[in-house]
Amino acid sequence: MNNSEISFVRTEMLPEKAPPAKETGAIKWVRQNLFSGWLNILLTVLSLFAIYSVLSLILPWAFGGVWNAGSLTECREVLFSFYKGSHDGACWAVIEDRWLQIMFGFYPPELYWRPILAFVLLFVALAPILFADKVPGQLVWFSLAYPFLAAWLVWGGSVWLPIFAAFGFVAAVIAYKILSKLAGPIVANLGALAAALIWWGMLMAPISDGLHKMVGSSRFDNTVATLNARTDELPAQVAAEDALLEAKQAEIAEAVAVKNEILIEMTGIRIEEFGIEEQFEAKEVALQRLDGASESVSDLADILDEWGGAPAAASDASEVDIAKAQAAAETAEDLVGDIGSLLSGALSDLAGDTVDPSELLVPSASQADPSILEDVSSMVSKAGLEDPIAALIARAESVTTETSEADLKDLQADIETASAALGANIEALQTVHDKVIATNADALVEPQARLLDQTAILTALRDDQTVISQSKFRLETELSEGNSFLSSLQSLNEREASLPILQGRVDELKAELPRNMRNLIAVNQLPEGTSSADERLLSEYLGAKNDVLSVSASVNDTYGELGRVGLLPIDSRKIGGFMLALIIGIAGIVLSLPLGILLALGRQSHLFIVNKICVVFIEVIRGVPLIVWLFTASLLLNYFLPPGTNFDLVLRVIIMVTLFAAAYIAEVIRGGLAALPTGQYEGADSLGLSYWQSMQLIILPQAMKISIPGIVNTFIGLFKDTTLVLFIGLFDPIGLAGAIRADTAWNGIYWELFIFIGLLFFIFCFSMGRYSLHLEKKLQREHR
Amino acid sequence: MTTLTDPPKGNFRLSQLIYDTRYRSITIQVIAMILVLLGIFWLVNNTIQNLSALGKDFDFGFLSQPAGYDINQRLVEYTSQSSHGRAAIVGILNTLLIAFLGCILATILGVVVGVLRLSKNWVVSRMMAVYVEGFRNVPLLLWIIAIFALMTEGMAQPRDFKVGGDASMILGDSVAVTNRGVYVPGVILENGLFGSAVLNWLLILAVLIASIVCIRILSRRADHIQESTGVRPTTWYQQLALLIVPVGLVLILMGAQLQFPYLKGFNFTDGIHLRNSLIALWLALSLYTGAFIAEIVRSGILAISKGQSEAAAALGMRPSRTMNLVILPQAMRVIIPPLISQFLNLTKNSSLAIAVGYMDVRSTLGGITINQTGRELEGILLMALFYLVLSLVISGVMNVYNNRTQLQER
Repeated sequence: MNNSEISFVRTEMLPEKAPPAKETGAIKWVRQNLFSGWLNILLTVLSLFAIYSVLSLILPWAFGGVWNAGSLTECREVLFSFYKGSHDGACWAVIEDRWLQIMFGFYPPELYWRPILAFVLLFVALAPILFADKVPGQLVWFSLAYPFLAAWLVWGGSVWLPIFAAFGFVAAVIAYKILSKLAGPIVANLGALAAALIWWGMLMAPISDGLHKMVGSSRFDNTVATLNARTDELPAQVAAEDALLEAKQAEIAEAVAVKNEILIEMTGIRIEEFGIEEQFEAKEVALQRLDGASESVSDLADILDEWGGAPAAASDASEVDIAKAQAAAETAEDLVGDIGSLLSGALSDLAGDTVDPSELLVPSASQADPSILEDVSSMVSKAGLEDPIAALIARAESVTTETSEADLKDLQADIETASAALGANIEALQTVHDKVIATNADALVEPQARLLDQTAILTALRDDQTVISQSKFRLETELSEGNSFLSSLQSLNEREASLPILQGRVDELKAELPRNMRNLIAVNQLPEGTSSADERLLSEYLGAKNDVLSVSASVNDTYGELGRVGLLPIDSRKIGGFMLALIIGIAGIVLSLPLGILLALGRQSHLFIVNKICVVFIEVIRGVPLIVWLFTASLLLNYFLPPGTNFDLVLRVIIMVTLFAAAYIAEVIRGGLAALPTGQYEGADSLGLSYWQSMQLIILPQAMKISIPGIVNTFIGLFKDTTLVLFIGLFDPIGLAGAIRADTAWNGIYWELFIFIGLLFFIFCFSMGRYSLHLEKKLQREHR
Repeated sequence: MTTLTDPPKGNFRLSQLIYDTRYRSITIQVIAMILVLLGIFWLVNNTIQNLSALGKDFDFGFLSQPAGYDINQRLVEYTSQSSHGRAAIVGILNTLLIAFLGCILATILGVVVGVLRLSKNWVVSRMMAVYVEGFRNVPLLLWIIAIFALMTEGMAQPRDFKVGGDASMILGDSVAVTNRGVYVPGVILENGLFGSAVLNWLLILAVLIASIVCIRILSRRADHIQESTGVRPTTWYQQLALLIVPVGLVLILMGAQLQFPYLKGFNFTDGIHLRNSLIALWLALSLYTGAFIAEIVRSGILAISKGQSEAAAALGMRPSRTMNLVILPQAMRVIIPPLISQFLNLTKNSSLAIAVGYMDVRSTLGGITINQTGRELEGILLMALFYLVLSLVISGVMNVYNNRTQLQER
């Protein structure tokens, strides 16, 4: 090593230099991410252009929309007063008017608090599952009770109905506890099933009816008295509401008149604009005709040039040539005709539908902008436009196929001069028009603002009107229902007394009937060749049986209403909109989860028959579209149930959706079960745990954790699929959009409703998806 | 040493059915079987009772009765005098058509979007994310109805296509997008070899398939040569010729001619008329399913570990060859099973055709036929059976493919 040869050794590092400007910050990011290669540049430019063209279409439409209007026509009036048809705007007023309907369907507005409360309580019920570490464990009991509570809140009815329904499960648990000590788990399971079925199928309805009857009888006199008093005072209240309504309607009519006055005032301001616009159309048509005439002349000249004069075949020409010459001659004749007719058409357009510039009415605009007057006066007069054309017509008349090419060129040049003059005239008119609009714009600002205020006032008035008519409708319903309830109360004793007599008649007829006919449920079930006496007897027997059923049902109904302790019952047909989607979606997923777990365990099971049953169930359900299952629920379920049963369509849909979702959930959970290492199963076995213990303590908690994204995805899919109930006559949000469009006020509205509904679904589904991602990360225990 | 003790061989007692694990599983299965059979019996019995009370029977004879309704889109001969069975077949073919078209477009869309979503270009990947999330989180039914409304409300009327009108045909005057549907050029065979058009087209299809088989053989041979000599013969022009020439020859032989749609009166004639219902359903199904497929493709590509592409780069492979030879073959293994299940979903979702009046099997067999004959039970049963068989066939094909491409693990 020769140190002396080294001249210099740096002992400390040089400070780092700042990177070049294009390698830092935003510029670097843009260069790397957007413009890193020719393909990337192309993609960036293309996508920016796509984004621009979509946004430039949507944004002005959406933000230039109208929020206050009573109908689509009013929307268009307001839009016209602002943009005069130059661009379209959204009519968000339909959302303003109907959003509650899209959310709740036809649910009575005064009872909206019930579904809202049920929705809020849903989060309380979910808390033990979502935030198990932050809330007390006892809350689980609330979660278990929640489904019954929510159903009661939404559908109403006596307070003991949900309690009784829940008691089926309690009965099952009790039966299981007792039997498992006496006879082992298999018998206990069967016993539990039987206990629940017996309770729901046979005991629940009579006990509930009995309770209603008990409460009802004690209330009878009291209710009749209150009802009488109420029905006496109600007509006056309805009349009062009616008067209010009329006053409000008069107010609305007044406000509409004011609005129309503003519109007329605006038309008055724009009258000069409109006057000029009328001129445009005729002049533009005339211009087109002139251009057409010039083209015809040049075409004619071309033909004549080609044939060296009028097209004619040489004497020795072949047939083909003769035909060609003839065709050319005909075309030339047509062109000659065209020239004349186009020119005279242009003249009549101008003569009929245009006015001389001096007659253009621009007094107020020219006051604001004196240059308009100069523009107008510098425009060519009407005669100045028409006369050359008239001269041209005269010249065109002399045009034949013999006319020389030079003359034609001359004519064409003159036509083009006339057309240029007209074009200049139109342009001048355009300038005037623009100036008039500019002067009007200032004058219009104030009425436009007044119009907006007036429409806002109108909307407020209409909202008031809705409130009044709703309360009037409520009172009227109360009155009519009170009256019919009173009459049914008055006939209650009579109907109750008639029941034993009717039953006696049934027994009598049954004794008379031949033994083999006693189980028949319809006359057309009778075998061929039955005597007509027997047939009559059977039909009488069936009729009597039907009477008993209907009378006892009506008695039960009356007592049910009389003895109701709880909330006003709401018919399923009134439930709709986003609420219906939520009810079906949430009920479907909650109910399908336990069923899905059982099916997944069954499909993983080593028990051959159980396994095959589950496989067949899952594959059949998954292989057929939901819409077919929904039709099954609406059309076929009545066939599969005992004769005479008929239950709620929403409930049927929920059952079908539950079965459908269960099959999908089962597949998701099966994936989770299969993903667990075999060691987990073997470990559970080596601890000596029974099958259910190992599932409950070891396998399912892990498998469920893995399955969470899949379950949430199934839920999102199910939630979106709830829109399909539209096809069996329920009013989901899309169905309601159709119903709203059926209203004459909103006929023709599409995009506003679609966008609103789409946004609702998007917000809900997107946040669910994000939440599942978050949950997945939170529950992740291993490091990957 | 311990010795294995056999379980006691005492007399069989009845209680062993419950307490002995050897017999308990049999007991459980028998009970489950009995419960299921009881349930089925209950349902069937109820059905029989209800049917007899209504005076109906269970009979498929209605399938041969004349249908009496028209179907505006049909792939096979059908008139209103044809039978309900024929109508069902027309519906089935329409379902298969929309499913086939939808699967193709959805796959193309999904692959393109899935790859673009992984692009380093921020604008492009964001735009694709918006597309995917937008379509995944809004009900398909809404998209179908919205696109249908766009077609019927937003497009020009055929008469606007007249000279001087506001609208004009696109793609060199060959395609007209109107509010009554899209008109595209059609191909007619002037002198077909067979009397029926279907047979002629089948012949062309057969020639096409034969060409494709030949191309496969050719590329196999090229593979062989490459493996034995290391040099791959250039075959692309041979392949192209094989693809085009035979079909072209047959077409010329049959006198194939392009037929352009043109305006006649107030409507277009000639060419092929794609109805709004078909277009709306097709686009909506493809865009919706394409969003799901894009996610599948993306996750499939992301599932291939980075080491694979790094190793390929270390071998000196170009990015495009890395994609083709290393990433995609492995990603396909992850992508194919969920892809097929998306195809299944698309096929089942095509039953939403009812929203726009497209005459698929649900609208013919499961709709008008049921309404006219009152045979809900038989109609829905047949329809469910059709969808079930279709699903099972598709998933069967998927299983075969899956088994063939599955990684052979020890």
